[in-house]
Amino acid sequence: MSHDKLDKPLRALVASTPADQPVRLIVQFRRNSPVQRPALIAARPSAYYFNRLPAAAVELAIGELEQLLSNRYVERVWQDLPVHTMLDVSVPKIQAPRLWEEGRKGAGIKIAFVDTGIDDAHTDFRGRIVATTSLVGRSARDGNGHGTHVASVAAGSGAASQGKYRGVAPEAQIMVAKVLADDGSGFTSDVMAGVEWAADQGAQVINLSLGSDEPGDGTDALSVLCDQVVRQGIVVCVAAGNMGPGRGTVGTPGCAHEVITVGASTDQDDVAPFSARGPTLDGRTKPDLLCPGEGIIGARAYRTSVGNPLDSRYTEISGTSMATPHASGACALLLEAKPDLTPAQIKTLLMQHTVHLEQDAQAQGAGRLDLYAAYRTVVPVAPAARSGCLTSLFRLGRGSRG
Amino acid sequence: MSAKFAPGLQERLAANEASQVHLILRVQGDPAQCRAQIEQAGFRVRRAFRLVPGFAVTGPASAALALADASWLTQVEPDRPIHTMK
Repeated sequence: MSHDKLDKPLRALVASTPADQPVRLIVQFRRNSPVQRPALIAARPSAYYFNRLPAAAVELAIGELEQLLSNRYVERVWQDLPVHTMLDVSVPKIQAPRLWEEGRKGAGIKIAFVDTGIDDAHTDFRGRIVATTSLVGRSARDGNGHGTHVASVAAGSGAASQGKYRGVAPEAQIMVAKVLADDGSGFTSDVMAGVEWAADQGAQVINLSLGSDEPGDGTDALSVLCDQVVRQGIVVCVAAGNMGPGRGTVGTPGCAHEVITVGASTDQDDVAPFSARGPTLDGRTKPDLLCPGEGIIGARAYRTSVGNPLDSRYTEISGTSMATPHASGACALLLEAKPDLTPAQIKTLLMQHTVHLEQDAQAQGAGRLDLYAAYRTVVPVAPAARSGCLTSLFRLGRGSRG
Repeated sequence: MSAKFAPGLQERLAANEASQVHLILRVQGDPAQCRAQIEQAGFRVRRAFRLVPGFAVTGPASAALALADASWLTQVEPDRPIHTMK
């Protein structure tokens, strides 16, 4: 058998698999080959022929590979590997997986979650929690579940779900300040201490999926602190709040001037009814933009039952709390691509690249985030990226079945 | 009414001067001197902030009212409850 035509994983599979075991393959033929449909493949009604490349997808028994490889018009054979679902719905909605394909997964970027703590034993965070503190107890353990879920939406690897529930920046470094007790509540001063800690620890993005229900004008101490942190070069993403749909319901610190205030959108690209609306007490438009925040599946902290648990590892929660880490993860990916972006530039980039939902600006802000569009203005398409790799083959579209 | 106080706060403090209250005080000037004066007024300092100079304190409402005219005190607001947004 001419194993030179097989890709490496397939070679290993052939060596260790019985001859009658079926395997899904992608077979590439020589360009300008007179035989585009070898008899072995043509005999399979389920074979699929790509129309932009001389190639077919087919299922054969391992034992049939020898016959296939002996065909001189067969140039290369890959195993047709399963493609993991890119989280459930929300992460593809903002087009984060398209950045992953270009190697942007947040590696080296520090996101701080100022929240109820984290389940540091959850598989989805393995090896990436670089700093923790508790301002409300002895440990940063998450006895509520909110902080764990939020962190996973921004930076979970999805390892416990084989990649299905993967966060926006699945390789980002994670910092955790527990500032809310296990009942999910706390005080402004504890949050301020958590934000200061995150800044001192070198966080590049701070996620605040929390707030008060009182509308604000951005002059309260926490909002002023958040603005100060932004001016020091740290991106701060804040939940708009869940007091919608009434007007003027954005609380503190969502009303802060310099932060990115995030409202929630639905799967149908509408504004979630609960998502807080502007204006702020001093008349400014908030939220700044929307991210998905309804029915978001993320990591479930051990022995917690927040939301609608799917199993022992994942749970579904709705809220602007869930929308906010989508934005934080997005900021991490942009910072990875272009580390010298300022918080103000990132905010502008995100707000300029949205899907307009035809709603009032005080409900949708600039619209629902389109991260890929924002990324493309930072990293224009390189001509070399358009050809040559197997991934491209899938993007070109599928041809007719033969 | 002093503009240093969050809207309605001064009235609420005055209505119950003996009550213990949790406040955030923003200050200007030497933080150590400010802290000393806050403690002298009868407050317990729970947290000190650096990026936005100030303190989270607990103490009698009357003490906050007594500090209203202190030149180093710039803002007084309640240490508001915060919660998750789920």
